[in-house]
Amino acid sequence: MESTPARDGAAEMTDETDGDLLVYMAMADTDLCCARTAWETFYRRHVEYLYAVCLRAYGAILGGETGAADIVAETFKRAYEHAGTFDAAGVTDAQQQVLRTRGWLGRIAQRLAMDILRGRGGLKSHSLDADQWQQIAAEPPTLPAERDNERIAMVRRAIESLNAKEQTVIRVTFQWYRPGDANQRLPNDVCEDLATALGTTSENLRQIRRRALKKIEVFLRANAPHLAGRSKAP
Amino acid sequence: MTDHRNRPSDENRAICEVIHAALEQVPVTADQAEQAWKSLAGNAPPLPPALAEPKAIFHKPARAATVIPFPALPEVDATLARAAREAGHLTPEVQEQMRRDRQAAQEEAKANKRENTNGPDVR
Repeated sequence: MESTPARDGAAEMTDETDGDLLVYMAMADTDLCCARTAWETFYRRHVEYLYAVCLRAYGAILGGETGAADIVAETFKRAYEHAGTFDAAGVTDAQQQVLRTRGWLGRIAQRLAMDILRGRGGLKSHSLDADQWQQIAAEPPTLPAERDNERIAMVRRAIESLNAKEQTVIRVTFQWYRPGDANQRLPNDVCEDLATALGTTSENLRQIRRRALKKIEVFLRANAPHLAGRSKAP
Repeated sequence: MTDHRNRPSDENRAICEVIHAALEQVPVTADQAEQAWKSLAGNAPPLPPALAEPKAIFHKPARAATVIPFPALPEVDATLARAAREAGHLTPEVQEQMRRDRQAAQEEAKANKRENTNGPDVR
């Protein structure tokens, strides 16, 4: 098969680190061809990963494979446009840079998904502002995560046992949940947009969420009482 | 502006922590990305055709949400407008026509969605 020149260029860049590729992308004003080639290499390196995690996280609330693919495509475009904001934080090891880059791509995708859930009318109409890019640049601290796989699997079953409306409410509201944070807040515009989408009121949405959480607890007590007991632990 | 009543964790913080873990978030740190990649090993879903070619991605404009055209026929529009003005009654024929139009529009929207694989449907 005959390769195109751009393909050959991309092949030449496969040994470059993510940090270097992003530097080339950030120089699009002076060398557009090099920037696009770097972007293509960068894209091929991360697209499979990013699509898999976006499908897993957003498939149920943003339109399945189609919605996940849209988020991924937009994330890569934003990464190109804002390549200069990536902070390698002094990491020089290529493999560590890959992981750090994936965290950064994840933060971009997360912001885009949240904006869609805020009802900004689809991906076309919005862009991330300067403050958001500052927050995206900095890697958040990694908090201790729930590691009890048995309990996680049982809670997934409990969530799947909820009706469609309850599942949507739980999946959307938990996009704003911050583990370990005492002050959990769901922005009013998200609440109002979700209420509108589900044909209900914000107050009723809170009741749906309370009912769904109660159902999950009841499901755990009925199907795995030992796990339900653990959920009461501090 | 934030409403403090909208707190997912008010009911039971412990159960909320595990629900959050169960719902699979997009990894936002290097550590999380590493764990996610390990968990996907050999099980990553195939890329959809829409993401297969980088150049196509770069030049593809983001799409707005699909709008379902309704109603489809001018006479139904006119009848609806008259009914609205006069607070009148919709005849069974018009109601049936509206039902058919709605069904046709929904099928058309579904067909469009199948053709255009990148349409955002936020719910």
